[in-house]
Amino acid sequence: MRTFIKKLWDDDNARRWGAVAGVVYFVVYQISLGHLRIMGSGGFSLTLAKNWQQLFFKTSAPFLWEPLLRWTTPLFEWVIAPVNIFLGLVLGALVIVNVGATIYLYSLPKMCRLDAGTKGLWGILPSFLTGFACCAPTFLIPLVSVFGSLTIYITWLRILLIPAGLLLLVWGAYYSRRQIRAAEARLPA
Amino acid sequence: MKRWIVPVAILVGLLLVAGIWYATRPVEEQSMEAMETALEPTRSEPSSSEATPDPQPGGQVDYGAFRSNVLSGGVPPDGIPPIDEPIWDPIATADQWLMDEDYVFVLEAQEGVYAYPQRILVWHEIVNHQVDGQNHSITYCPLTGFCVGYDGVAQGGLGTSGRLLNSNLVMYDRETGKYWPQILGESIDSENPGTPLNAFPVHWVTWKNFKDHYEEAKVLSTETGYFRDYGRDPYGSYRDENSYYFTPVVMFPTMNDDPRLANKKVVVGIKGQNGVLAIDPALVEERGMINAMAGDTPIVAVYDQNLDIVRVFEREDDGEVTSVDGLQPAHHFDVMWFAWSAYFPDTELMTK
Repeated sequence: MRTFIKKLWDDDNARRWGAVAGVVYFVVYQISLGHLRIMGSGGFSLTLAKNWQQLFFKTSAPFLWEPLLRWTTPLFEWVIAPVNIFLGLVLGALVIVNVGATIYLYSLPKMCRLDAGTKGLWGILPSFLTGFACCAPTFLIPLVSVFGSLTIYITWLRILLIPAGLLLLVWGAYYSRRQIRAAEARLPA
Repeated sequence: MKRWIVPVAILVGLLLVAGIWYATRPVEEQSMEAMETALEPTRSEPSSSEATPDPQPGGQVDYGAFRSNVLSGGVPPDGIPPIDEPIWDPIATADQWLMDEDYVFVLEAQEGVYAYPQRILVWHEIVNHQVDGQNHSITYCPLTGFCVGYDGVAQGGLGTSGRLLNSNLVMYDRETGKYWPQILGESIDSENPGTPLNAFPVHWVTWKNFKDHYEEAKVLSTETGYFRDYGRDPYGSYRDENSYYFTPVVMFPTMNDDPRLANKKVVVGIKGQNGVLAIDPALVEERGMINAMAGDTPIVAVYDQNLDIVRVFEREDDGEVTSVDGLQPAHHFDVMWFAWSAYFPDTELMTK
């Protein structure tokens, strides 16, 4: 695995586009949770919750933790829940590997490619749906007229989103690694 | 590696996670299920008749049906965090962030007037604090537009269970763990079902009417101990007719549907002895005052034009009244029709 990562790191395009995708993913993940708002409320401020020790591991919904720090700037407001930051970084790292591997595969001579290896990138989507407000997933509230009373079932399925995303991304990384190996084996000596 | 191994591994992984989640759910959820399985098939009556409304005129209430219709809203107990240490602002401070059209919930206590902005309560649903020397819980359910106060609650206050009945908040007593559906206002546990909470009305008032009417009041501050975007209502807006608050769709299943009114039409629900009544507030506004019966309880509803609200009082049996001076408030609340009729399918209704 170390060789695989090093191979992606040493490739300029894979490293650059992987990093861009990872950062974009992390930002969108924070926005989807409702933790990052573009267009903040004004000046600069940093506020730590008085009861931050109690909030650190307090969940408000599955895979959604209470923020304990608020950072406000003229451009954005970011409330920080450390466990969600950690989870976002893990998912972001997997996105970097998946996107980097896809770019790397495309950089190989066409005759060597087996499959672009993009399947694991489907794992990006589920984690964008984990924001939760009050009694319903945030993505669902504007769509309530479409889903109606089916909301209850979608709410239940939501518990599987992050594990599914993680599994898909890990599988994608593993699959890409195999594809790269196989493709490189086809390269003329 | 065979190609089919990967999807099978994913499926197994998902099932494993679901299994772990199921096994490690909070104790409250498991005890609710145990309660449901221990449910007696026979109907049970409220343990106390003191000021206890009868949700279904006819004398008996099927608490087992209520228990079996409780659903998970997808959040853990107190995942929607109640405010336990509220901070209060004067009207002038609150006026810096509240807009004229915003709603506040108003409690007129002996010690003074309290206002709870809807924009804060939509994120917290419960405020626990002391009023007039007693433990009070002000509770609000965004999905049903129902706000009510309860006094004399246990020291730990009421919490949000993360569960719903008829799309309505199910609260729990933090000391005993008992479940209390908010609109019902009675315990639905198999042990002593029907034990009532002592409810008092809390009025929906626009911020403009509030600040024009009251010179002094304590307004709940945004310093709640939690970071939420109080400028945004996740369900939409009471100023947007396309938002959840106006569209006919209900998010979670209900026990009964009643087509007499549109789902989200707001009515004044009144609980009386052996029966309940719903009145269209527009009817009260038009007539100014209405004498009626809520079950066996004589009531009088009056329109308060200063605050643009309906107030309801209990009156004596000996005929209609033309003044509400000296009368005691009845159990009355603004609520969306679908939720009221889901709990009380036999409710009487007065409309224009």
